[in-house]
Amino acid sequence: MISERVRAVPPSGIRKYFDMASREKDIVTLGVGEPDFDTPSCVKEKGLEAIELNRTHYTGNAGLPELRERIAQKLKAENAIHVGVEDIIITSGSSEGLDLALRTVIDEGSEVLTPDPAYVAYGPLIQLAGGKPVYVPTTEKNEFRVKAEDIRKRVTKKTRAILYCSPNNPTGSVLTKEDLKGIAELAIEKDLVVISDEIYEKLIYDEEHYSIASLKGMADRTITLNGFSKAFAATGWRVGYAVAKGELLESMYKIHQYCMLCAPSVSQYAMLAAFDDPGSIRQMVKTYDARRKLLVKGLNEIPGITCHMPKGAFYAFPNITGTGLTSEQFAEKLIKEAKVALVPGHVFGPSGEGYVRCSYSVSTETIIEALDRMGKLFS
Amino acid sequence: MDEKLLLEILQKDARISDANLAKMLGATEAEVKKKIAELKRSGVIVAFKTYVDWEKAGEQCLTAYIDVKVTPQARTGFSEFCEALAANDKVEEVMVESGEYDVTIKLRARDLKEVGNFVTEILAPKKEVTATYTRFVLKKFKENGVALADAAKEKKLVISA
Repeated sequence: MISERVRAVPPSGIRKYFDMASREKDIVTLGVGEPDFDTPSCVKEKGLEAIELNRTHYTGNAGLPELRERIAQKLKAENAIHVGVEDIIITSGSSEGLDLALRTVIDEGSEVLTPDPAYVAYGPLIQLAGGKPVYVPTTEKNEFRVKAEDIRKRVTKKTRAILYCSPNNPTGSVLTKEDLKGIAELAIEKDLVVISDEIYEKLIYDEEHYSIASLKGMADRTITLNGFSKAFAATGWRVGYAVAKGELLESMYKIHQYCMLCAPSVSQYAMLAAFDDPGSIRQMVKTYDARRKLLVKGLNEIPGITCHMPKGAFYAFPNITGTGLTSEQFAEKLIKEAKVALVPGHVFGPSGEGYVRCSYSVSTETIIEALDRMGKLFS
Repeated sequence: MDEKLLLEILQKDARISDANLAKMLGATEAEVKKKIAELKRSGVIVAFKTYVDWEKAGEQCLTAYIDVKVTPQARTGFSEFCEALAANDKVEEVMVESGEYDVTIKLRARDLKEVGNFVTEILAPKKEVTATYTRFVLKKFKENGVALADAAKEKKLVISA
C-alpha cells in the first residue's frame, strides 16, 4: 500500500525522545525548537480583526499582494535582494517553501548537497522529491561552517542544488560573507541552484547576516526561504515566503497552486502587522543573547562537556564525547536520570554524533535548573 | 555591563545568582555585585521582594481597591495623607491619580470585615477624606507582572525540530 519512496524515508529521529520525555514527570526541557516568546500583540490583533472581517477565504495563490509588497521592501532594505511582488510566494511556513524548492529542482536521482549536521527535514524532503541528499560534513573546529571546497569535492553530474541554513539549526553556525562568496562561485561555475534557508536570520549575535541572493550573479539561481515563525515567535501561524526569479519561481508557484492553494488567509493578514514593531525583535535578541551566554558558559563548567559559542539561532551544540557516552546514550540518560530533555546530535546527521542540541529558547530559570541537574549527574 | 539588561533580568528573578548574572552579562561576579550595590544605593533598585500566593499558603485573603476623594492640605497637598497610609502593613499600594478620585489604595486583607474596618475606622474618619469607593478583586489573572491564569501555562511541545 505504501510507496517505496515513502518507505525509504526514516521516521523522525526526534519522535523517540519526544515520547520518552512526554512520559516523564517534572521534566525540564532544552529540547524546544521554537521561540518561547509570544507572538507580538500587534500581529495577534491584526489576526483577530481579519477573522471578524471575514478574511477567512482563499487568498490569491501567491498570497496577499500587500504582504508581498511589505516583504519586497524588507528584502530590499535588510537583505539587499531587489525583487518585485511577482518574485515572492507566501507559503505555509518556510517548510512548504523548502518542499516547493526541492520538488522544483529535483529529478529522479538528482543530488542535493547539504551540510551535516542540518535541520532534520532536509534529507527526508530531498528523498521524498526523488532526490538523494549528499551530506557535506562540518566540524566544530571550523565552527560548523560549510566550506565551498568541501562542497566542491562532492559535486557530480547529478548535482542540482546546494541547500543550507544560516544561522544553522542545530549548530548555531553563521556563514560569513566570504563563505557565501565561495558557495556562490561554485554554484555559478557548476550551474547549481542555491536554496538558502534564512529562517533564523534575525537571531544572530556577533555577526551580520548576508543573503547569498544579493551576491553578483546569484539572483537568478537562488531560492531564498524565510518566514515569520522564528523572528516573530509565530510558529503556529504557518506563514513563510519563497523568493526566486523567473522559471524557478513560476515552477514553484505551479506546485504551490496545486498542493496548497494558498497560505492561511487569517495568518497572512495578521503578518501585515509584523513589520510594525521592530523593537520586539531587538528585545528578543537581547534576551536570547544573555541566555546563550548563560547556557554555553554553564555547559562548559560540566565535566565531560565542552561547548563552542554559537553565533546564531537559539541552540547550543555542546560536545559530549568527554562523558564517554554517545549522543543517544547521553540524551536517554539525561531524560531518565536528570529529567532534562534535549535532542541528540546524530538525528541532525552523522557529523552530529558526539554532540547534543540544547535550546536556549526557554526561560532563564529553566536553563539554570537544567544546568544544575546536568551538573549533578556528571560531577 | 548592560545595566538595563541586568535590571530586566533581576526584575524577572531577583534570586538569580551573581555567578549566573555574570555569565549572562559577560562580566565578573565582583563587577555584578558592585553594580547591584550601586543600583541599590542610588535607589534604582527599590527592593528585592518575594511575590507570595497567600491563599496557597493557607491564609485567607481578600484584595480590595479603595478610591478616595481627598481634600488637599495647605503646604503638604496629598503627601501627608498618603505617607500615613503607606505606613500601614496591610496597604500594598498608594497612588495619587488623575480623574474623579484623588488617591487609590490597594489593600490586602483577610476578609470583608477587615476591609470594612479599614474603611470605616481608619480611612473615613480622616479629616481630608470626603468620599470612598471600594472595589473587591474577584479573580486575579496577572499581578506584579506575573501571569497567573492556567492559560499562561506552557502548551508548547517538549521537544520539537
